[in-house]
Amino acid sequence: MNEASTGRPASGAQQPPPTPPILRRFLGAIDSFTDWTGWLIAFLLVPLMITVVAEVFGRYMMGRSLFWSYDVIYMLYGSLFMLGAAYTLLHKGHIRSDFIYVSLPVRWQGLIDTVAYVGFFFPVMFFLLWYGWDNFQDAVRLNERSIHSAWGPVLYPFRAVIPLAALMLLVQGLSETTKSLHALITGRWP
Amino acid sequence: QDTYRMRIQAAVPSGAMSFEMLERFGERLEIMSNGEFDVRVLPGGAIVPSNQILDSVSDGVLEAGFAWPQFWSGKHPATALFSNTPVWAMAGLDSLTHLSWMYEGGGIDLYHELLQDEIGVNVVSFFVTPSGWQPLGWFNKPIESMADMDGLRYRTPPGLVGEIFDEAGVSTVFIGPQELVPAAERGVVDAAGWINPVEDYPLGFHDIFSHYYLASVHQWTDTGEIVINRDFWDGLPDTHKEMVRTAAMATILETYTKDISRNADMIRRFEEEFGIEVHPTPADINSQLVQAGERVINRHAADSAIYKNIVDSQIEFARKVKPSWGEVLRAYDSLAEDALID
Amino acid sequence: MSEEMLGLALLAGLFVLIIVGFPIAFTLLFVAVIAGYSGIGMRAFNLMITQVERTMEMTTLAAIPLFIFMGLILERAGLMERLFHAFQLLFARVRGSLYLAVLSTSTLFAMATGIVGASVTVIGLMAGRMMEKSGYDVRLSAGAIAAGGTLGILIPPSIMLIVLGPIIGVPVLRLFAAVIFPGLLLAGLFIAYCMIRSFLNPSLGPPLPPEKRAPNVMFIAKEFALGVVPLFVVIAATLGSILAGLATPTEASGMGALGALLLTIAYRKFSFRNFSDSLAQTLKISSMVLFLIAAANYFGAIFSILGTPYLITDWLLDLGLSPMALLIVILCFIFVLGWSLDWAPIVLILVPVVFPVIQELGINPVWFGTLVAVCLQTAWLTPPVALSAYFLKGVMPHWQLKDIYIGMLHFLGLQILGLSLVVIFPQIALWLPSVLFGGR
Ligand code: NA
Ligand code: NA
Repeated sequence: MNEASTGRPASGAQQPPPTPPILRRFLGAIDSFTDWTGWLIAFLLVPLMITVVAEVFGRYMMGRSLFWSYDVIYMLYGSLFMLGAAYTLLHKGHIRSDFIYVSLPVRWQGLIDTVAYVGFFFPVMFFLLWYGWDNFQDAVRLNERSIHSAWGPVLYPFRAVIPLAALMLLVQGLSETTKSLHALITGRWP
Repeated sequence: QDTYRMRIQAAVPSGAMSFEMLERFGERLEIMSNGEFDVRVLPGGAIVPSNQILDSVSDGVLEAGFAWPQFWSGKHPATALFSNTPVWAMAGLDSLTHLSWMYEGGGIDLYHELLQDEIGVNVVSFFVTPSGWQPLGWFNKPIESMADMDGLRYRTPPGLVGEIFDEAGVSTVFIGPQELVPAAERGVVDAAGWINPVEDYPLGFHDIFSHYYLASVHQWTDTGEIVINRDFWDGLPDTHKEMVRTAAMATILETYTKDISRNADMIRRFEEEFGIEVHPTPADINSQLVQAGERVINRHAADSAIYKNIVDSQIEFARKVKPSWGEVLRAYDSLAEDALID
Repeated sequence: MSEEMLGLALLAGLFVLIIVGFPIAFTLLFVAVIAGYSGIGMRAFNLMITQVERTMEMTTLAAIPLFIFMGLILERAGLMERLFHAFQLLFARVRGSLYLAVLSTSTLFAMATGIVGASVTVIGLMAGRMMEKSGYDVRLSAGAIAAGGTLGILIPPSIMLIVLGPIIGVPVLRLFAAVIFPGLLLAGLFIAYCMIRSFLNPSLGPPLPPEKRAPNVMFIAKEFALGVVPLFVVIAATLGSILAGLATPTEASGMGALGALLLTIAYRKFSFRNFSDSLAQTLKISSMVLFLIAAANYFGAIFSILGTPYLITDWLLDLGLSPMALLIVILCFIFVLGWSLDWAPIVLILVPVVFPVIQELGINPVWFGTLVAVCLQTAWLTPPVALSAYFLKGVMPHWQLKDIYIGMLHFLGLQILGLSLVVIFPQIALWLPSVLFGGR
């Protein structure tokens, strides 16, 4: 399933040691969790599409906006891309400059990725989780409501998306860091 | 010598009149403090989106922010009562008596109670820009009664105002500010309410619509506030605190004087330069909005104790001032009929 | 280090890290966090949440996943390829005909929507593979798609102009009118450039080899009636419903997605597998695009709060230049800032600071606004924050970023040419508004 493994050259002529089974099981568990949840999250597009279409029909059939559509549209769209970020990470969808990176040996790629995950990714996602969680709790405490429409739905489920997305990214980040370390140490992607 | 850097992010673009008022507010502080205040006014969206200003000031991301209390109505619906309150049948505060209620009738204290205790943000608030009445808005054909609003897709602001139009049975469409101009240009909406003549001009509604309906009771006043981070405020010496209070009072007066004069100029420009037909909002619409407003307000008051406290305080104040102030308005209105100008 | 200088260090750090090959969205977030923390402490994290939330609430961006889904579902069903193939049959002898197709579609997209992400990804999906298969030059193809997509932010409707109008006190519709000709001029320059270069060097955009051409006109007519017309109706209905005022762009994207789905059912190309694969692919691409936009928003907000633009602007204004010289210096400055920032912080922070001076010098605000808009359009094409290139890379992963950059460089040159033309001939911008709205 991991399409990233294609295009990455196997190192050296000598037979490399196989990836330890426990490591493989660890990576497999995380990756399939992200794959499976990502597949579910992708289906958020269907209600998004239906809501948008219903709004147009509502306006022309009944002559007025659906009271709920505006809020539902941004909530679905915002949840879609944030919760999909971990899935995108797994499938190497977050793009990078390739002019130096792709021509480097695998160990160097592993080094860059290890530095990126340990030095950049984890600290940022940790704070996204922490402050996102605080923000979510504020919304719960106040029973905060949307001011974008007269409907004014409660916001806490939507506010839960940021910490949830950060958590999912952290989990997938564990798997990606392990893969990078593996590349750094063995010169081969698992 | 200490300097106090104060970043004020506004909820309006830098071309707006209230932005100019804020810059004047900042200049006053800098001059009065002999340069110890260093004020920078930032336009809407520069650092945070408008609906996040309160949180960002409370967190200390910004030292201060400018917006209208109804922007926080998602945190508590009662905030709207301090700014864009409708004229509802029982109380009938106009924009000046509403301001009087805030200063003399305990409104400001109630507002701080709401912000600090109920919502729990770490800010102090100063009212600065009581921009007066708001138009019903822009239309493509004349309307005479609520019945003519039937089947028109009318864009309203969200929040309390949207609720009132909804309650009155208007086919409201809510389209965000970024999509509104193209939507109006291409006829996705048939009519639109925005802010007031001076602030409507830059968006170019007069290039799209041909009729403009003035003061409507869905919103009789709209008082902007500066919220200041409380730690920043507590760190100011008493002299500087007094400068802020004084500059705020001066801004209130300047907003009043400029608002009346500039909106009048702009309405004349709409008529003479762009051929817009300007009308008063039909009495039938106003009376139905008053009744709808009352129903909406009562519904909220039944849900929340502090909402009810605030409404009761406004009603009590209105009962006190209405006999004398109302008499002044009536007398003035009848005088105007015979006035020298036409 | 003063906070303003910290902002400059922020830009320098960004360049290095992105070139090394760290994932761009995370690099943007990280560099902003570091500079933000040094400048405003822990509050930088509050600001991060605020900016992510802000991006999540931008309803106009909901069009991006829906348009991407529309493109993917049509592509999976092979319908897109049929459309471009039919077009190629029609112009079999013309060198570079697909450039014409891509850039015209981009212009049409630009007239319907106000965002860049949708156009680049959808046209990349629809035409990228076809261009590759037909032996088109990767660099020029990538440049045409990426640069064509940026027309969306210039040609009305445009969110950027809606934000800019009130700042410079020009009614938005006049600004819309002013950029129409500069926008079409750029589209024309792009098309002319591609067509001339392919004409001179057919390997850039080879004509259809004789054995693949249609045997007769009837064949083309049939191919058009069966393969093209229905699809064309869906796309035309989507973009047309916006132009006709039936729907906002966000709404039209939803209608287009549904229309595409119905069309694949009508062609009996629908399968659940294709459907769920398209959904997963949509998730991956839109998550990349929007996460990048969120990161760029945060980066811009940190840059703004540090006050760096004020430092540089004050310095610029103190130079005491003549009006024309100052105008050109300001445009150069906007261009350079656009390398690392997207349009929002520039329009919101820089323009208000320089505008009083522009006014004092008696420079026409409509003209100034147009120049700023054309200049800012380049921000999407200049590295390290060349969002247009990244969007394209997201849908055409095997295209090297280097090739995309080099391709875009040609169009950047055309853009500067177009900008110079509007500087030299202000009437390109000022004529239409004066005809539509009178002399003022
Ligand atoms: Na556009
Ligand atoms: Na750029």
